[in-house]
Amino acid sequence: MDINLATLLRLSLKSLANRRLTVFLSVLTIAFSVALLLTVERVRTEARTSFNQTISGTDLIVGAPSGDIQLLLYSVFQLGNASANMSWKAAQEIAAMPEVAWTIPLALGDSHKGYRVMGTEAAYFDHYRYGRKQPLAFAEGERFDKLYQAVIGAEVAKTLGYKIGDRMVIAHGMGRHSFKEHDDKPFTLVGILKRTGTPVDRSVLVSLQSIEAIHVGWGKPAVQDLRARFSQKQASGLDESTLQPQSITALLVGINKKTQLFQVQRAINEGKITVSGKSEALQAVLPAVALQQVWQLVGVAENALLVVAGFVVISGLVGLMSVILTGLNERRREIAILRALGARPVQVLLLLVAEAFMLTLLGLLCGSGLFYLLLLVAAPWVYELWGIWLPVNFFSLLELKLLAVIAVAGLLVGLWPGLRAYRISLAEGLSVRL
Amino acid sequence: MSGKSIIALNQLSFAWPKQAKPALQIDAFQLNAGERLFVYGPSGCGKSTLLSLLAGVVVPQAGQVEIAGQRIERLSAAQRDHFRADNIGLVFQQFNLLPYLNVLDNITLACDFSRQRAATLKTRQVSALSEAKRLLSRLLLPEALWQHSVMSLSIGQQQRVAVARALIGAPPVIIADEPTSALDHQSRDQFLQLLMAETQDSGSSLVFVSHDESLKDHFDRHLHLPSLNQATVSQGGL
Ligand SMILES: Nc1ncnc2c1ncn2[C@@H]1O[C@H](COP(=O)(O)OP(=O)(O)O)[C@@H](O)[C@H]1O
Ligand SMILES: [Mg+2]
Repeated sequence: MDINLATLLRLSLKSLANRRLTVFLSVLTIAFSVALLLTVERVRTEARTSFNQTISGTDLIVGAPSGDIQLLLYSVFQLGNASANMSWKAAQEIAAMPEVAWTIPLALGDSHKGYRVMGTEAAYFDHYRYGRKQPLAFAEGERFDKLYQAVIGAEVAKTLGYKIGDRMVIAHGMGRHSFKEHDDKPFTLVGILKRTGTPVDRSVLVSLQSIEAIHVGWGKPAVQDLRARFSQKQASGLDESTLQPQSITALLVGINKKTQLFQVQRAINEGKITVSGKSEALQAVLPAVALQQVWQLVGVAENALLVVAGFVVISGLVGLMSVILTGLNERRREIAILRALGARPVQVLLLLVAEAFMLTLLGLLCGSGLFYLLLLVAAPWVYELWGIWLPVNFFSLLELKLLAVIAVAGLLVGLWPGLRAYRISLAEGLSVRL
Repeated sequence: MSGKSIIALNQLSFAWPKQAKPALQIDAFQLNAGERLFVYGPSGCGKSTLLSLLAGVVVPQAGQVEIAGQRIERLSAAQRDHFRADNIGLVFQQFNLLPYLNVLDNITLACDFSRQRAATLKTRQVSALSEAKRLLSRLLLPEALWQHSVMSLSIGQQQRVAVARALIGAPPVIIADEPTSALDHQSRDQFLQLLMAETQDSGSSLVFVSHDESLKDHFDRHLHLPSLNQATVSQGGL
């Protein structure tokens, strides 16, 4: 009968404990590389899910012609700025199309303490969907229905500590300290949305009329503009029914029948939308298609990052192998002793494989710990920066697979020194020949 | 016990791998149970090679090696390793101990590798640990050192721990390859006395190798290997 594996494992552990400094360093290398790989992979997939879940249920995004990706990014993800607007009239034309079920106008460009202000309509609360076609829900309060009322996302509420009824001032342009605040027109907070994990959490929602109202009397110093706004102000005394927006940034569109989707898209793209007899140049994109394009663009960088992280793991494992191989020469004595005691060459091999495997496992364990620590520390910060929420979940299947591959690689790493030890065991008699 | 053959070599020829000439050629040799054999001869004459053959670490290309009634050249490699664990206690010149185990663990390790040795102790109703302790006190190793790392021991002390490990579970054959050559004069004599007493006590046979002929007098039987080994005759030339 064989000596039991437990004896070998015990020897392996004691031997490792005896060399704990070198061992610690190689485990550390592996741990760091594993943490890096896991982080890259987690950020990658979470960025995707988070992006994919930001908009669902919207069939088309319409805006002034720019690029598919650009339109998607600024209208839905609040990344970048619109280069041009579309007219309100065109938006109304589209809303009136028989195939169109609903539209959500979006007017961007203002901010509150670094958070984007989005002018829209009540339809936003009815039709906007995120995640698995979930509608927006209120944590507190209700939707706006008057001028100078605002609804804020969960993140805005949390960081700024706002409550229903608070007053807030909206600034023109973006940035935490915008150059000009519309401080003569404070808004009242009427609703706080539940967290969605999308950019909505970082938005301030107001009515289109409110946006229009705060811009009355100033804006681009174009003569007609000033004149138009002035007359509007004179005529209405800021009554919301007369405060009609001139232009919006983008329009989210829902179609009645999916089969009509391409027809509507073509009509918009081909300039069939006319405003006062003139066709307006517009662009309609399918969110899913535009997202796909984003992934194609980002995919290269993603893969490059993954490959780099993979190489870091490999170099960690190679480092481990070299540590074991270097130690082997000094351990010829140990091998001879074990052989003298009756250990078989295969058991000597096993000893070294077990050693590499255990160190790799330890590296995986520490690496996972480091990864979760990193996740805990970095998650709020990543969210703040990119709106991507990194959930502290258990490993995904893919991550588990990556870990398993590394564990197997750890076994293989031990195989080479193991085979060398095996050959030493066979070639050498009882006396160690150095 | 004496009179019974414990080691028998017959028409033996062995060459190391990739070596043209055999390192060892022995027509016939026999050692009886309980005998203590002193093998001597100049460096390179094949003493260690002989021990590797006896221990079943290597097998002869021709001839027979019979240990404790077992033709070990007929066994598979795994069986030989197993046979060695059960039947042979080995002591080397130096560095016999695993540096990461303490003194007692180094000794009981021999029982972890051999069921037979463990079983022998069991029939005597002693545990491996208590037997290790008994041997250590017999070998005059201060009790304060028993839990210590073997690295903190002097070479003489380490060699005595190695003897305890070889002897635990009373294997029929003890093989020692120049175990005294790293020792100074005084500890060498003490070591030899203790080794003799303990092998006699456990009833094991002893094969002791040295290039130092002056140790001869401690032993029952002497073997000048170059006289027996025909390979060295032809190898030496002239
Ligand atoms: N593991 C080995 N592989 C190849 N040749 C060996 C090995 N061990 C010993 N030899 C050779 O066998 C011969 C006898 O060596 P050895 O048995 O070690 O002599 P001794 O122990 O008497 O000094 C020498 O020529 C030596 O080079
Ligand atoms: Mg020798």
